Amino acid sequence: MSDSFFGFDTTLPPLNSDQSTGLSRTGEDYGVYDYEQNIDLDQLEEEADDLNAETFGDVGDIGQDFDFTESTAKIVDTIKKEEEIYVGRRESTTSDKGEEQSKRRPSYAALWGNDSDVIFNGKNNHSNEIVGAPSLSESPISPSIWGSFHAPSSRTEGGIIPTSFENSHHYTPPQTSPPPLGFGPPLHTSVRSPMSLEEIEAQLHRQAGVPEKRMLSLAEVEAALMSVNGRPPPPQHLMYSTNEATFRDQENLAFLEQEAAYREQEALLFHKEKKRRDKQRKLSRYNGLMTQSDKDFINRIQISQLVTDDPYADDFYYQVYTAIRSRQPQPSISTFSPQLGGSGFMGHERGRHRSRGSESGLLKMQQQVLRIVNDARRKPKLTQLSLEGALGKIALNSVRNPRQLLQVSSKSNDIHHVGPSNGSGSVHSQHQKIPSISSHGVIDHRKILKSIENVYTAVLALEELRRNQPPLPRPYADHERVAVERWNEEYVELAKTMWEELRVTEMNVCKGAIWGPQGNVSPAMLEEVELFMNTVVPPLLQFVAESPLRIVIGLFGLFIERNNIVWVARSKVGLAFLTMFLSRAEILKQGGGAMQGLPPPEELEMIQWQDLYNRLFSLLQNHFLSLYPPFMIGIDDMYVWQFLAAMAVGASTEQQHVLVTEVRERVLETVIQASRLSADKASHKIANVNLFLNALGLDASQLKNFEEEYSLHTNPQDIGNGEELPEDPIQDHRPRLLIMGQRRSGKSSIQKVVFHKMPANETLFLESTNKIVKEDITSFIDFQVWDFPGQINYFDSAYDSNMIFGEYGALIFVIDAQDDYIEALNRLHHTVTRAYKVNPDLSFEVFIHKVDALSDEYKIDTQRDIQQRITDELADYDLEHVHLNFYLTSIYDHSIFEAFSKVIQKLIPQLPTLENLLNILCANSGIEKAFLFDVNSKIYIATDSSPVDMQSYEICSDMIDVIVDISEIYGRTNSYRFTNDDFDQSQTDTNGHSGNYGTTTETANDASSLIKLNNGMILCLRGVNRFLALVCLLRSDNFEKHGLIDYNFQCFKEAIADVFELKRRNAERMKHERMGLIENVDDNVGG
Amino acid sequence: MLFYSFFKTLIGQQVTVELKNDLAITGILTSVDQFLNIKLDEIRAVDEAKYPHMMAVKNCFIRGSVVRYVQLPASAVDTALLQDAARREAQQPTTGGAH
Repeated sequence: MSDSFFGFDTTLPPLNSDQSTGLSRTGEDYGVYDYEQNIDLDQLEEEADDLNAETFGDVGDIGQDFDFTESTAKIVDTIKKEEEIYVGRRESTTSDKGEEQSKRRPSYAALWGNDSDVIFNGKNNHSNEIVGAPSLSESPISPSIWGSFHAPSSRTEGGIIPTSFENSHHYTPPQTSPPPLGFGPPLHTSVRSPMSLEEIEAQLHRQAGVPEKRMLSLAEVEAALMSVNGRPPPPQHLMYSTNEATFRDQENLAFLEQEAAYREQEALLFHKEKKRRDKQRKLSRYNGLMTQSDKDFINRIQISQLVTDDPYADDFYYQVYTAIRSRQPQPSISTFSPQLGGSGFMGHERGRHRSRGSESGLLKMQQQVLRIVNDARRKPKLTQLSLEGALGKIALNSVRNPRQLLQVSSKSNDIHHVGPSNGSGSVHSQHQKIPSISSHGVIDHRKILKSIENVYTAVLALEELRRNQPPLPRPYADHERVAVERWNEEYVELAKTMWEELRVTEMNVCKGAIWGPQGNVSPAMLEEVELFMNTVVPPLLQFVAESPLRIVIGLFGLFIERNNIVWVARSKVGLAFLTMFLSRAEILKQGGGAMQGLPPPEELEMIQWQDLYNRLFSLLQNHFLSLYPPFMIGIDDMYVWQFLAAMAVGASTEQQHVLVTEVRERVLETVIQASRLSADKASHKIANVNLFLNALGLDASQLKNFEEEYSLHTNPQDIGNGEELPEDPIQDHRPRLLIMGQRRSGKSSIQKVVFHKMPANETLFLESTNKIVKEDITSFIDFQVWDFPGQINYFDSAYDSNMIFGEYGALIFVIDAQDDYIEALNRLHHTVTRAYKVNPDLSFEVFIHKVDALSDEYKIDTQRDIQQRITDELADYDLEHVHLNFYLTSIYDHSIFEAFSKVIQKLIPQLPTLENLLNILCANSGIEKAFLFDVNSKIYIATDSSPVDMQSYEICSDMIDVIVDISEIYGRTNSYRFTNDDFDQSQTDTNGHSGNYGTTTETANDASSLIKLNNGMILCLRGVNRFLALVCLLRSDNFEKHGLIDYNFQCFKEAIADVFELKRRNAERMKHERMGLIENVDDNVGG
Repeated sequence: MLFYSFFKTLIGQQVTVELKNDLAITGILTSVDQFLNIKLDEIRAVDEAKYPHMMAVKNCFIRGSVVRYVQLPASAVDTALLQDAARREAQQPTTGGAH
């Protein structure tokens, strides 16, 4: 084995360094690369053996050790000096030092004086290794890639003894001859000589208690060595050694104490120890097989394989990962070679006490690695080796150049150097999600994937470019400036091509993310849209916001050309892009570019732009209204207004007129809607509309006119808290459900549970209502639910009771059955009398609520009691003819739905017809029970005339839940909706109110479902229209004739359609009336 | 280099290494090198009943060539980044003599 003192490398440096001796003749060829290229190790060893002879034949040769170029004599001097200093210090502190000194001397003599012994089987490296580690016998010392394994567990058994044993073991080898102490013969004569030596040594140390001293001196020798070589060890290093000294003192004391104890027990422990030692010996048989330099050698090989110029290129994942997770890359490596890729190799040493041995090892490594890196830079790496006389070439495999298993002919690298200006990971994933097949045909799946890959490549290229951004040029350094300029050019070029590349993918995104006019989009889809909006749009926006008109025109042209604009514009994303271009162009047209240092747009550009604009306009003409998302879907349609505003700004007078004509209905509807909403929402809506109107040149006052004109017909009335309540013609026909009752009786909870599908147990967290909450419920009949706060007296003069009670509808009074209801009854009585006076047609419903906690008996009692009291009281006021309906309700079961069903049924003028239809259906199809459900609220609109039992209602309403849930998971969503003519029809029917039912559309239109119950019954669901579904319960025997049932059902469906057709016509008539009035407004706008 | 780079980030994580002899070992990844040799700490054979002799072993060194699979903790893998890294790797000239 090739070794030298302290594991300093003897093999490599002479091969490599220039001042090496004659042997380096051959070494030059190998250089550092020997290791990298995995050249035969035997060769190396041979080489090394030669060196051994060379190195160790003469002590002076140690001086030729690579970095420690000083002569050995010097070193020895220093060591001696060092030693003397140390000894002096020692003597002043400890008492019996004479012996130690004498002992140390010989050992040093062995080390430094007697050359032949020194090199004996390389064990001296262990002394080096252990130097700094008196108490660290089980801590890893070598900087090896593998660190050190944990010490065998047996080692920890014996308190301090193992330590001494360990130390002695390491120190023995240099002393081939037993120290002159006349200690007894070897205890175990049977064992091999090194072992016995070790034991002797161990005994010796135990007697004298000095092992650490020698270590210390060696440590200092090392320190001296370092300083002699002009490589001052890091300050920490020195500090460490002094700390070490004191530490060792302490430990020595402790050791002595323990030693005394040990002596007492020695006899007892002797055989134990013997056993233990046997074991230890077995374990440590191979200790020291690898010397420090062996380990270093391997480390070098490893490192040389791993060093790289650009860690980001070769070690990308690790580098970025650590950066992202903000984990500190291992400091040990980064200190000495920031560019070193293989920074992970010492990771295991983090946080551990680092011994001095490893410090110096690190230092050595550092130098070597630096050399390796430099060499690697100087010479390109060989990938093949051609030997003289050989017929072929030998490929050299390495980590980065593994043997190729497949030979794929790589085409010329036509990597598009494109990439978005910020390549965030989420953007990538976004693109990747949507490799949809384009309708254009020319672009197939593969191409899309390819283009996505291109974008990636571009992003990566761009990232790399960014990393290599040249520093800002210093003045008068022309080449630097040139570099920067070139960099800038490249950068801009990349960013631009990236943009175009992105266009392709973006189109697909839009396509996937489209939500059409009535699109009911699955949540996942919405999420994707959201993601896209949040990640992709902002950077693009930024880019466009800085680009000159020329680029805007180009991009805009591309956008229009490559996309089906009418289609794309229906999506939020698409509109966002259009808005972006339009507004940017407008800004530039009006000279906004000057602020950014851009020249004003040229005439030609203006014309180009106008062309594009006209094209867009003509494309979108007749489609403006379809840009809006449906009302009631809960989507803020601000982006549409923004787009229209952007359109309007650039529009000619004629175009403006077209625009207004097309969207006036929406404007009107929004204003109407706004007036119904709470103040802040209303102002938001109005602001949206204003956005558009202002762009048209209509200002706020004109909008006022618009409103005034409108209000002439609507006659809004004030109800106390200043909210406007315009009643539009439709509203007159909209039945009203007034929910009243004491505070905390559960009014809002009822409303939430029934109409918002809120789980009953979540209603606990509802805030108390503090103003009248009006809500439009859109279903096959539209009605309004007014939720009144309990604490307000509506018969105050401040409230217009005509306004509140004047409409057709029902008053629901909620009484908390768990509470004391006397007060509630008073109030009910009061309410009924007043409301009756205002509107005798109002139907009064009393919900005895929260009965879920009451026992059945008590429920009935309560109901009877309440009923009794209220009828008595009403009778007192001569109002016994006022009929009140009482319901026991709870939100925790179906009773609330049933009660609501009954309430609502009374508001349906068509109810008798519907019931009749159902009766006929049941009679002719053998159906036991049929419900016509409103799918959204699970309220049943009508049922046949057979009595309703709770169970059948419950099971039917549960079925609706099941169907809705399943169709949400598996149902098709928007795509088919666009192709469905029927659907479009119904869209216009219920204009603006459709679309908030998710997949229930399917349930409604042609959905059908069948559930067989295990009691021989069948549950059958059929969709009737958008809102209604027929659920019936029939015996399975009867279902055999399901052709008949289907037919009957078809008839039923048509009949229902007829019934509601009538209603629709009425509604349309109303709409026409409204149209008339908008014409006036329009004249205002257009003229 | 990608695998090496990747495994480096897993140092300190608990992984399960399945060997080609069907032995599966769970342990904390202590270190890995470019041959994908693996060092594990606090190891435990997955099927301890089958490999009782493994119970005495606390740490181990696994030669990279005998590894069949390494089961990774999902939380420690950044797939998006991994994709990027793979792209970067693919982009590099295959000759490997980059530097």
